[in-house]
Amino acid sequence: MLRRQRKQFGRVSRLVLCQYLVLFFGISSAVFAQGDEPEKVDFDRDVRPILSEYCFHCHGPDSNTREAGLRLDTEVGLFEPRDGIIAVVPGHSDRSSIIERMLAEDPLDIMPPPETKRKMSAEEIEIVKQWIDSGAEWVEHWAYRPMQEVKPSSTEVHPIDSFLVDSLQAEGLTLSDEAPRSGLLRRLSLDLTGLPPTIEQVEAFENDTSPDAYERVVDRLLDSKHYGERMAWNWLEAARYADTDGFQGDPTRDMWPWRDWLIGVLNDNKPFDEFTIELLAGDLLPEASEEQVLASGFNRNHSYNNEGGRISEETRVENVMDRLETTSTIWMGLTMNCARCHDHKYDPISQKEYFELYDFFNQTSESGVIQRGRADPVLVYLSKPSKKKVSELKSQIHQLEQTIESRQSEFLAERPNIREEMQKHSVQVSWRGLVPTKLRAQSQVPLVTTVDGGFRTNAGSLESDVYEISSETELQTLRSLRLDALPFDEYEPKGLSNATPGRFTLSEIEIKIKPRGADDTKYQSVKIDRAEATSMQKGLEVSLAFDGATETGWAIAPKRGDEVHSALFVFDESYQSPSGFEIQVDLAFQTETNYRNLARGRLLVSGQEEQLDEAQLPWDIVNALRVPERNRSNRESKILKEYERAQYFPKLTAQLQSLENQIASTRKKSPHVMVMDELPAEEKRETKILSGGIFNAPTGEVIEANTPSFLPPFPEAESRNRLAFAEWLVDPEHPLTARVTVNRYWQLFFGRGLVESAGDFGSQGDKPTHPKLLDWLAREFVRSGWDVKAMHRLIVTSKAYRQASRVKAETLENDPKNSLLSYAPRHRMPSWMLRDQALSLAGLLNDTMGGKGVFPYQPEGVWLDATLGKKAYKEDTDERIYRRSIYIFWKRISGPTMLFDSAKRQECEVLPSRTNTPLHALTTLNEPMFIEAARKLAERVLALPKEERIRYAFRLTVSREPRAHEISSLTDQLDDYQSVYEESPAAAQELLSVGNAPRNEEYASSELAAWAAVCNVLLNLDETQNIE
Amino acid sequence: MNPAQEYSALQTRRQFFSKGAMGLGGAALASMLPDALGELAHYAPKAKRVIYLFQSGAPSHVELFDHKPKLREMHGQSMPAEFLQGKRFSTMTKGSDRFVLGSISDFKQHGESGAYVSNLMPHTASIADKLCFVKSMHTTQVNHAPATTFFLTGGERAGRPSIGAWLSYGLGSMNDELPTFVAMTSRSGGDNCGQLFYDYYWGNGFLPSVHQGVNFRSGGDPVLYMSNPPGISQSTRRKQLDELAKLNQKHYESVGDAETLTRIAQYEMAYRMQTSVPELTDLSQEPESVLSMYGPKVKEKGSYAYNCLMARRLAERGTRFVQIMHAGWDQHSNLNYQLQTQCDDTDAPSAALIKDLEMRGMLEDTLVIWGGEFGRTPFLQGNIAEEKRWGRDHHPYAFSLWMAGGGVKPGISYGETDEFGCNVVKDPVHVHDFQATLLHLLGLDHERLTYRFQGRRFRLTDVHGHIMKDIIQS
Repeated sequence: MLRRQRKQFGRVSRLVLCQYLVLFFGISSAVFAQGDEPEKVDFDRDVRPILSEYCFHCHGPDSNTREAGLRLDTEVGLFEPRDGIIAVVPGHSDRSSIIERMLAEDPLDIMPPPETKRKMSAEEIEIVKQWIDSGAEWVEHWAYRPMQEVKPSSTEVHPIDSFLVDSLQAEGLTLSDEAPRSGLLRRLSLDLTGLPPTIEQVEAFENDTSPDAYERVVDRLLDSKHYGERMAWNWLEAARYADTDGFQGDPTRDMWPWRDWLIGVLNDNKPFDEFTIELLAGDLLPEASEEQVLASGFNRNHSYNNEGGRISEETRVENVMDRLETTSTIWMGLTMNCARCHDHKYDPISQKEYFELYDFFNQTSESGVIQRGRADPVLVYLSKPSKKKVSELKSQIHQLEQTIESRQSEFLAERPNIREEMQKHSVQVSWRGLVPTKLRAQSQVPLVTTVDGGFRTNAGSLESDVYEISSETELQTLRSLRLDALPFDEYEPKGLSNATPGRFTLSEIEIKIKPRGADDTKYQSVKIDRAEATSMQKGLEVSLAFDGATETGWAIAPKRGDEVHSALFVFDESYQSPSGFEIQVDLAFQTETNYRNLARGRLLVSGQEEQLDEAQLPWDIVNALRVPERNRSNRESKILKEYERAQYFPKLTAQLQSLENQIASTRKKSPHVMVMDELPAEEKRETKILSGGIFNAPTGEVIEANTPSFLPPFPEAESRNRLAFAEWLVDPEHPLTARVTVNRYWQLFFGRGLVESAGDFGSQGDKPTHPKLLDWLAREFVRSGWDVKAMHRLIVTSKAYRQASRVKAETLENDPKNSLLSYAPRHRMPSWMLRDQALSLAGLLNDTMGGKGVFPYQPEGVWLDATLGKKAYKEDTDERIYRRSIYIFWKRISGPTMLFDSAKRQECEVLPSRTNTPLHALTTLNEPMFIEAARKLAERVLALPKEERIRYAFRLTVSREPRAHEISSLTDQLDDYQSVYEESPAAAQELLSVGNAPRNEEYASSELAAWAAVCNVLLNLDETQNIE
Repeated sequence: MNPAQEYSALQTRRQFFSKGAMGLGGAALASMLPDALGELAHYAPKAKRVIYLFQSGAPSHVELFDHKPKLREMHGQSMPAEFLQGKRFSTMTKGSDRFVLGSISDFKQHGESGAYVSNLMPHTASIADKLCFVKSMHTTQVNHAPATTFFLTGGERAGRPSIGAWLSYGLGSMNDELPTFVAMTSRSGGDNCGQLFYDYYWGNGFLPSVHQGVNFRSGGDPVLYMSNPPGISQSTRRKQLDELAKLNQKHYESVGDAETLTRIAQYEMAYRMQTSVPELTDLSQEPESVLSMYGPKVKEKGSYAYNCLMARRLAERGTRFVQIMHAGWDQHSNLNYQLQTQCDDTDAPSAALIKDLEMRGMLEDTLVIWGGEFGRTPFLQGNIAEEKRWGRDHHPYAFSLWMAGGGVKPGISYGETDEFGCNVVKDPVHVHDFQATLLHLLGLDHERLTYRFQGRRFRLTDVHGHIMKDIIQS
């Protein structure tokens, strides 16, 4: 009893404290005064919540706001003397300063101080006092301690029941009898598959007298393909899954293959540890399969802000934080977001530790820019037919390549000097490549050296930027500089920048030189005399790139930027230096409207006054030829070979190109699923604490990925990446992962977790109602090899799950929230399940699985309103409107209108919302699909002989037999509606024309309409809407 | 538990123990609604309700209410660097020179208060003495969605309850037939940059969804699925609901879950909403003199004028928070003509609403707010030579809004900006200060209106907020 009251105490609102205290005093007197042995005050259960509530804010984990250096959330802080004062003296509340301050009358002394507007009650102070006087035993917060090794007290009963019965007995309560079979099957079917049982299934179960009848039904349902669809809901809500980005424009994205993967693995019962690793780090697994890479899309389901004028790094940082916080909520029940801007106020997570975790998620190549619902990295997801087509094309390509290969070898054998000639041509060129020694982009996007001595950004940025490139040359004379813009293969389509189309605009180029080895003060600016370019746009000529104005610049002609382009800058004079030069080149991309930043390029210098020669060899060929054959890299040999191939076998090459184009176009048309990747070691981002959580305020030292110190240590030998992090999470001894997960399963079946705050296992969260049961389940889960279906089976086969849901008056007295489960909980099913149930009862359900989102009925104008008239909702007109709700297209800024009370898919949500409002009633009463379902349900009923209809309709809807008053109400309604519709055939016609499904013309419209009206009532029964 | 949950838990217990005493729908409903105001408020409220005229896209303060002759004096010259140092602007004007742009509108002083109001807003100017201009607003967000979310929920990311949801949670409902919190949207004629309205702008965040704003739609049913299906008459529906209530009541008696009684009541409330919403939107009884105040578009569903009139009608019927959102103020490159269009669409209806409320004696306990998510730069966005494409970029460092009624002092200006309207120089008002003041006027202490979520007590004002005491009537 004490346990329950403390628990509620922590949550009571000041506004109703008075009302509450009446209740509290009544019960507390029983606790402290009654019985032989008063229950001992437990620090973790009774005292820490009080300290957390009133003290931790200023005397807790946050070092920045800690007052007087006093810390009450740790053992040391509580018991160690500081300046001769001790907060807690075990056994002596009268000598403990904490009590003195709590009881102080002077507003300057009393704690918490009056300005916090918090006041401790006498009862709360009394609890702290009792704890101190009874020896002040201190323990770590329960959820951070290792899971207890506990055994059920009895082996006679189901282990779950054994734990529950222990607590029930203490309150003089018992479990209820088993629910009637019809109701039990309905509950089980809805819980495991989200669909109601058929009448046949109900009857078969009612008539099955074998001892394992129930277990067999459980197995049948666990094996159903609808199981994965049902279980995926909670994951989609936690993973903030949607089919659009959110924010301005709210463009459509292709994440549905991830949703299908999820349903598939839930059905296949992938062990939870593997599942976790694939969701968080599938891309990092050795030899990762396509499915494993797809799984990592979990961390790309967040919304994405691409508003005009948005700074991309701000968005990227926001996304990294979202990943970290979502992961922490789902696996650890930690409210990490509290430590974004400062140390956590209640839990031992410092801001530094937040950013240590952040570092795990900070190493993805994502740039913070998204276009049309797609932001690299992506996985091109091929459907089965496309896969087949691509593999056929690949084998054709392979054959063709072999043909070319052998012809090419023959060709070269006949002309041994051909490469030398080419080389001769190329060595006359006096250009020398400038290999960057230092690279920096002012916007902070990573800029790196490429293998061919050029530079590239890691994914292309669309912000105002300046690239600063330093390099050296041995040339003693400098007269010309050349910038080659190179297509960036990672873009689709291939382009010179990440803009659409892939063009760039160079607003200014600035060149500074000094003799090699001279100090930096010797740098001088080089004056450019003239320039040429392979292509330019009117008004964006190359001369504008050195006119001193950032608003103007050089851009190539408006065709697709998928080819090499060059600009040549000839200096006003020849600069001389016997030691060679150090050169600094600044490339600015700062034109006003659209920033189009070159993604990949290369700089070359020459001592001569050069010309741009269209006919000369491409630069990479020149470079490759310059390397002696034995020293050529694979890449150089390959480009050389490909160049020759195109020169000497144009027909075959064209054929090859066409095959390759076919693959490219198949891929282009396939969904591009956003997934995770990891930057190579040399491009790793440096993580620093962001002051106030603000993206452009990094402070302090560079931080290395790590896990918080209060949790098991991160293994030293591991590489510190997401994969190691995911493995760390599913370590069998991790105190949080298994507990948090089984708690969510409990919530799934009992409507409320053993820890009610399923997303917060920290010191401000709820305490477990049954700590031993929670730990036993968690250990059992790990012991089973993280077998999810086995855990579900374990829970639903307990007596607790199978008991009747009738409320017991004695429970309301002693356990008003039914935390002890003396009867089965009863709750309104989620709105998606209401819809699926109605479709199923009506015989309308289309149970096709997977694929793109579908578009059922939706009132006109909802999307138009949300998009300022830019995007209209287009209903599907075929069978797709009857698909299960999980496949409904989810527009993030305007979710499906009939799915009330759903998670909003803006951020991770793990608690169900079950409100009860008139708007929900309006939906199930009036929404066209519910009306259509009532009509089709009526047709099913009318197919039976008259005398069986009411019973059938009732049994179909709620599985049980109707009672006399129910039969009479339905009969009475039927007569009433029938006479209404006989009098008004037009009204009947109207009702029967709702929905796309054709009506069965065999039935008289007045009768069918009357039955539809009855079924409309049936679908709105409280019992129909509840899992009970 | 929060107050509403607690209340409903108590109700639940009461209902259970008086099992059978509760009648059908109507009777159950009667006891469902907390008679909230006064009971749950922290102290005596000045305002009972709020109408928030949210000007989405950010109106230019230096064209409308914050008169800065210096801008015209310096037109075309570079902004002095000291005004811009260390500031973050949207990437749209990053890197370019910043030329001062003289205000494109003329200002005059109006009324006894002598408030400066732009000539683009003659109707607002005519009621200047009823308004309190706050000229020293500032915010931390520079993009629309985060800034709007910040204004309406106190946080820059989606996920927190909006102001109306907090009020519904803190004060409950005043009406059992209409929603407590209603949102309506409109957009200007002319072109606009397309700032979207996300439903979390009137969302419940982590509060129970009963506190969510109901979005009244301009087309079809104002409330989703409000009309009976075709072929189900009101009398058939009545019969259905009566039978449904009877069946549910019996079921409740056999199972004992008090949620069932709540459901019976909610169905009854839905029925009442079905009758009261059509009455709400029926303008036939509005006198012509009133309609004409709101301007020519007043009967055009989905217009700002229509929404303003509807706001008054909702307020009259007990809706506590009406949030009107009007898009089109984002004038990056069309200041010269779009600003006029915006003002034409909004000026008369905003002023009419104030006058209308006053005529009905409702202004004193209705707080009306007019304002956007940030201001606009005193300098130009675009090319100074190309007058047609002049615009101003986002400016979070200083901007203006006005408030009226609901205990706010009329005919005053609060706060000042520098000579460019660039930075606040006197009495700065942060968004959280504004929110704290709003709650205060409604009788709520922003530090005590909290909700426990993820282990933390959340507030609308986060951990900030100071009440603007100087603008509150004593």
